[in-house]
Amino acid sequence: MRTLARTFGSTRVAALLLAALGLAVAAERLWPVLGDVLSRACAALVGGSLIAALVLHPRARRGALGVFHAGLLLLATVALAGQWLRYEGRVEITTGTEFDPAAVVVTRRGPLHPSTTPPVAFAQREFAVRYAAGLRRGRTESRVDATDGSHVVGDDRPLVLDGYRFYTTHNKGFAPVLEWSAPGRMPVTGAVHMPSYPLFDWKQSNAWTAPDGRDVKLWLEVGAPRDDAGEWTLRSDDCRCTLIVESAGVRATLRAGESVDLAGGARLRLVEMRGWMGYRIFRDPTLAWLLTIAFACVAALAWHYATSMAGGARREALGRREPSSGAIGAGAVGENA
Amino acid sequence: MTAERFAVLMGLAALVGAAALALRDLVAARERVGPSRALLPALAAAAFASTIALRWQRLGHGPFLSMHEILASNAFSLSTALAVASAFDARVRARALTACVVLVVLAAWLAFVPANDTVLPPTYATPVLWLHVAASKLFLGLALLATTLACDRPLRARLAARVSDSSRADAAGVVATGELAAWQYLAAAVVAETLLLVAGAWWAQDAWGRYWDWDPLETWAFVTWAAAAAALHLRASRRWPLERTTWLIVPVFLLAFWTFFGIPFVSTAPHKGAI
Repeated sequence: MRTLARTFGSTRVAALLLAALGLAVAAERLWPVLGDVLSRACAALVGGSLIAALVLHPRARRGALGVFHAGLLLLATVALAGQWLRYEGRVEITTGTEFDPAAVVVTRRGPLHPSTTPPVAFAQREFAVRYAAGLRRGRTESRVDATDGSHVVGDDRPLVLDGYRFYTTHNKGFAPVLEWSAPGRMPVTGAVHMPSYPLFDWKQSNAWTAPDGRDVKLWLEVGAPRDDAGEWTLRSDDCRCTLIVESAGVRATLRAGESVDLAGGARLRLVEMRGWMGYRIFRDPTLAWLLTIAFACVAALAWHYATSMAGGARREALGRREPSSGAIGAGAVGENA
Repeated sequence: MTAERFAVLMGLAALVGAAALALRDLVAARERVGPSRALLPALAAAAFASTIALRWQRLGHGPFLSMHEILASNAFSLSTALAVASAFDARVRARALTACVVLVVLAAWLAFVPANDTVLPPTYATPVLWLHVAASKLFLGLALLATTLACDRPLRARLAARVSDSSRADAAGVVATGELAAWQYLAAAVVAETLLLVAGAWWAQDAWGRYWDWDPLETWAFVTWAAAAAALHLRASRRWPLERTTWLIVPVFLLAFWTFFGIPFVSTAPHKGAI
């Protein structure tokens, strides 16, 4: 049994399993289901082989190579724990409003993630997105107010609150704020998020169901002509737009502050035009550990090869070594180790 | 002809000259050549540096996006790697033919791809990108040097068989030094590729909100790493002599070449630089 385990932990078997892992991962591009199963199986076997090498082959756990091997195992373990603790979601927030955890669409939640919604608080302020000629999106700057102050986030600068990372996305657009009132009812105010702009500039339409159940169709006409051949900036607080409203045969074009009387005495008022920003939410408490362990692995591997090359050069200089018995390899853990 | 294109053609010419000298060394079965062999690759590196600098000045950003930019930056970094290795490592400068041929292919490719202007995506404006790119250049440079050393024995053996020269066949024993050096360069390349993967994951976390997503480039970078690690483990087992295992370095380099110059331009993944 021990002999079998030693063989399983040998460099030859490790080479075979690593090659198989590479093939399985590549195969996943062509056959996703089969490749996924094979990749997981090969990864587990590589992990098993590494454990066998660490336990049964002293050279595999000696010095910097041992640090690298142990680091790889630790990295895999922490990454696996990260999958179980992970939380991913997305949310759209209207400018001038607070983040509402109930509005988050959860896309992934590990079984060990402690709560269903991010227990954080911040308010979305204005945002601006720069575009280069040819409608190439540039820097996004989104201002948010959190309890620890005001932040400007965007692209690769997420808002980090309690470990939750809020990344701006390409999804953003305009949000007409509407006030609906009817005789005998309390007025209701809310924002309707129009489709992402400028991605869907050709279909800036949406529908909304009023509190009395009637359907209201909305179209947005963005007033200022856009010069896609040059640079321009999309600003949430600078929408010179008009809103076309249609409900039960009544159609009206509204600007901010204007209203339209609908059938049955109801009234719809366009309070103002705001913007909305789409965020991707990510939480993985193991991120810092993963990065630290990964850099430690790189340093250990570099140290291992640097020392083995220096040792090889010294032996070569002393003339005690045949050219074909070089020390370079994955640690010379094997049959002759 | 623009100055940028002229610099590319100058680099190509220098590399063709370097390849001709390397071929002459091979045909003459030379084991020892002087450090002056580093001059033409250095000249090529300077030419590619010029074209990159001119473009950088014009566009305001480094060569990270289009095929033209990727080819230019790698033609520069690989020429530099060959020049430095040729200057300081006698084992490389006597066995530079494969590296020169690869560089001529890259430079010729560069001369023919359109040099369209590009816009730097916002997620590329981070210091982590520089670590990622530096590690990638180091990896590919070291892998190229490993490959040129690994290809030396088969080339010499084939030449010896063709001219039926037994003295040349005997010389194959001497080139074991080159094969050992090939494994040393591959080992260093694997360290650089590990750093490349770590820095890439760090950047991806900030740029796209996830550190690893198995996009095509990540997949093939990992496959390359696994192949290199497998080759090193096989070598470490010392079950087979050098001449029977060193060829394993070649498929590792081909995988790396495919990852660098094939995948980013046939997939639509975020790594392509698309916004």
